[in-house]
Amino acid sequence: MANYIKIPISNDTGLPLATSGAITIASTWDFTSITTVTASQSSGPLSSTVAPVGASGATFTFTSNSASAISVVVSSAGDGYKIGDVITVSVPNGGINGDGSAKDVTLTLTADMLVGSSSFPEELVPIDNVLSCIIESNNIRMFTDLLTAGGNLAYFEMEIDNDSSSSTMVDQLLMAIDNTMKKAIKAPNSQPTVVFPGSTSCFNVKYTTT
Amino acid sequence: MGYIKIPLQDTDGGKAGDITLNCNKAYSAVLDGTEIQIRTTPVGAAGNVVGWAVRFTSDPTEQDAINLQNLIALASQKQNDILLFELEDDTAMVRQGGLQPSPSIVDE
Repeated sequence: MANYIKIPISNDTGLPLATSGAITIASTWDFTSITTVTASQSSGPLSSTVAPVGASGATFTFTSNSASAISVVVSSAGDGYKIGDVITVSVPNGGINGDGSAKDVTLTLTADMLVGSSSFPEELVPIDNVLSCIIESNNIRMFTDLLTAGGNLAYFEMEIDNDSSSSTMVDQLLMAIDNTMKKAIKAPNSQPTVVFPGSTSCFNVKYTTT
Repeated sequence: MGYIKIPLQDTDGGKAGDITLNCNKAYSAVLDGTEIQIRTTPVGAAGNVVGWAVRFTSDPTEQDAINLQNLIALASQKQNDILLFELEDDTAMVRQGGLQPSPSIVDE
């Protein structure tokens, strides 16, 4: 037998953007409004708008190489984005934009441009090998005593959608998961469920073994 | 079993709660500079061991490390229980970012 806790997966459809993959491929964006791309330039992080309204916070950096090919970096993933949302970024004159006036570039979001989310309503996490939980970049990591091939500790990572403005919300998140572990330890095989505090939820659980 | 819990500082400097450490495989707690290292039997990276480096809001003493090792031994006799560890300075907490599970604890 093993001791588990359950992690409920959010059905909130408003999510942060992915920071790699399709969203960073220039061909998925519509750059046609910029007729002259200046080579070897960078736009710096640029804010964005979205239609329909609801999501916010995503910023992007556009960089051109010596052949004027554009690459895209998601500088900030924002939150609240949905499939089909249209993101618009105004690229000011200068930098990569050699047209002499600001130009709008757009992106229509597809599923693979949002953070990966679990398709299960809840995830089971075995805690017998979990050493302890810590906060890492607003997510919660449950480190195990199992060693990866790379010589690191394998860990479960709860990817969190934190819509709260409270400075201590991530601490409350950590304790919510830790307290659920305590329940499981005190009542083996009870498989307690994490109750996420405030306007927070978990959209994915990953087991990282690298 | 071997579970202990230690008060943990939150982002604002208050107390977040008591963080749980699974010491089922722990065999020693040692003062190393201003931190306590807890060592476990699993072998870590490069011949070191798996464990924790724990830093507190005030510096622990040799006696604190001894107390922790004794508590781990006591916890190992407690089924389904989680024992509270505090420094002799009982206002001290694990500071923000001060709990670091590691595969590279050096057992000298």
